[in-house]
Amino acid sequence: MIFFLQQLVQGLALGSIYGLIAIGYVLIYNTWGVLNFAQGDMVMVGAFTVLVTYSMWGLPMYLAIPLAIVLCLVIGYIIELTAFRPLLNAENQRRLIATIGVGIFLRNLAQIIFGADAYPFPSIFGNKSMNIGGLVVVPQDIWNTVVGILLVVLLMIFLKRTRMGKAMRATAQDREAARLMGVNVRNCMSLTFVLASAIGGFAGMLLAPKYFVVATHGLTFGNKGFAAALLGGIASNAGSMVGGIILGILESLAAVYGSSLWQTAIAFLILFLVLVVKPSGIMGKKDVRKV
Amino acid sequence: MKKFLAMLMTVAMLFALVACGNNTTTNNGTGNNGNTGTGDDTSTATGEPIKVGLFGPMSGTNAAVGISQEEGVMLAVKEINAAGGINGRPIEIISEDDENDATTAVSVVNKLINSDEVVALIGSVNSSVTLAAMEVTQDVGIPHLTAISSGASITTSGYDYIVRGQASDLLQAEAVVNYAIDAGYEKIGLMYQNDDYGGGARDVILEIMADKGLELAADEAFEATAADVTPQLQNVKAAGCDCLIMWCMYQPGATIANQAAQLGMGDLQLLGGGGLTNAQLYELGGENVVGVVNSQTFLAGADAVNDFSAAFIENFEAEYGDTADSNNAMSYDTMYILAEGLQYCLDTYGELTSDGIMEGMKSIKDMDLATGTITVDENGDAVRDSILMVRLVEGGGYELVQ
Repeated sequence: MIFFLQQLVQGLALGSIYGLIAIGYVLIYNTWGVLNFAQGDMVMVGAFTVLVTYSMWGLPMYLAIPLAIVLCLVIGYIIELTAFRPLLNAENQRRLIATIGVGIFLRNLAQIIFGADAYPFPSIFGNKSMNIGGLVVVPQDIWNTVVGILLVVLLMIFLKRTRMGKAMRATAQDREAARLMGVNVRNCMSLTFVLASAIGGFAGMLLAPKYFVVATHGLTFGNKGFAAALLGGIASNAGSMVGGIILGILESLAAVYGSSLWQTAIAFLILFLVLVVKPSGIMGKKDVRKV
Repeated sequence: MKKFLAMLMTVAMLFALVACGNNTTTNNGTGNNGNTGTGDDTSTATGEPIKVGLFGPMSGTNAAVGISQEEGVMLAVKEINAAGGINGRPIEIISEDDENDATTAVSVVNKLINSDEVVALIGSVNSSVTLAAMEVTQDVGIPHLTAISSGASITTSGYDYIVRGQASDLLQAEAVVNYAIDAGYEKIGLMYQNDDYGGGARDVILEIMADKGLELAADEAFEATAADVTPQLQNVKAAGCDCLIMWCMYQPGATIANQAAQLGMGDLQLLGGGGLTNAQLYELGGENVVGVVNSQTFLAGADAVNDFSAAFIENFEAEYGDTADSNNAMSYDTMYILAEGLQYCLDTYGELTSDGIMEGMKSIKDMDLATGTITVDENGDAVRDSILMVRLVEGGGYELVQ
């Protein structure tokens, strides 16, 4: 039983990060109507920004993280301005390919600047494990879970309760109608994009202490986030967190009770099954929009 | 205004890219000093150059080892050319980056053969990448040496044009398993990266264990790019293993050590093969990798096995200001093995032919090299007297265990 619980704890910690990555896909998909395949690479960018502010500039953690988030916002804005906005009215295919291009660009830029090897990153919340009634728990994992879920809840409150959030949701629902109702659609779209980039970047900062900082991590974690987003329902904010956690736990269980060869395959298996069985995902509504 | 801003940003990004690009060029320049100096200023060899292709991961995963490979080869070339080259002909290295990717390796090898017209090739690091390149070198029939790939199948699959400077995993895995048994560990677990390197070693380990009537307590695979290996470690823990053989490169090695420590498995003895050899292992794993024991072919800190080895250690230090690691040493040796083959071919046939070079390399017997006294067998394996077992100590250095 303890062994099973241990897998749940581990899966939850990893899954809440997948959820954070997934919500970035969802936010951008809802507002821009395009899957942003550079979202995973924003995770990598986030990990590198905090590496720069903390390890290289030597700032204390309470300054390093906010500054890294600001850097992610800026980088997100640059991407939006250069690769997304000019293609707003282009065909979906072209926009999709543009996001793939941005991903390749970011990955290679990181390799040019930081090289191909991994960088260690110190733990923010402590890496010493604790034993709670037979369960081995690492503080970093607990905080990753708590912060991840908290962030999604805050985001949903922001979208539901605040004026700005409502405007963003209106834009997501119907760009033209929102514009006619006096919503500054362009700002809303920018804000959503920048916010999604920063959330992706923040997920990267949470991952850094556990999994090193590597230029190619964007690809690995981006794929997991994408699978989680589809699983939860690509149009559902809350669903992305649910999808992420389910994916994280399934990965853990598959490796332990099945074969460890399945660990990486499971995300893609889920992706495949969701697309075949329930394309709108667990929490998604029927949607006629095309990718 | 917005458009202008967008353009400005684009220009700024491009500029940043160009600036970074410049940085790397200068870095490469300094890193390759030995390389650029080889042909002209230091060399006394003046004849028509003998072109040799070198490929390995200079970017992407395992780049650190690709760079080690180039350092070792370049030092050997510099020395060979300074001593008059091969019958007065200097060796010229043409280096390519395979990005640790099998597909890229195939295209750079084709480029080196067809457009640069090299007479022989050296590369690569990851066994899967080397095997992919070997399909090309076998088809074309051109001598191919690998300094670092240890995967057993490289020399057991009937390829005619391969010579390996590294010790095969047949030897390394045996040494590691024997070490574990001799040290009294009873429940031996295995975690291997799921490719030709890890999977190949797994087959060897299973066979050796079966011969001794033993079984693995845990047998877990993981993807070389996987970030999270805790589920596998949970299985190792549940199996009650007292030692874990991890057959993988240094980065996943550090990941395993760190995550094992987080799961409170600090007492678990970690063992591994030559793939763990890199300064990055300690940089990423810190305290958690101290005490890791792995197989190696060379240790600069140990008493030099022969005069050749002592000279190498000294020359390497003088050239790069750093202590040579086993990948440096094997790459250096591999270049000398090739030089021996080239010399033999020119002496015997008066011209360079693929078969002549291969014949020369395979006739090497009891040659003193930096990693010991080697003999090249008919499969192309450099057979050596012993495999070292080394332990990582506090501060990132190594000590000899046996």
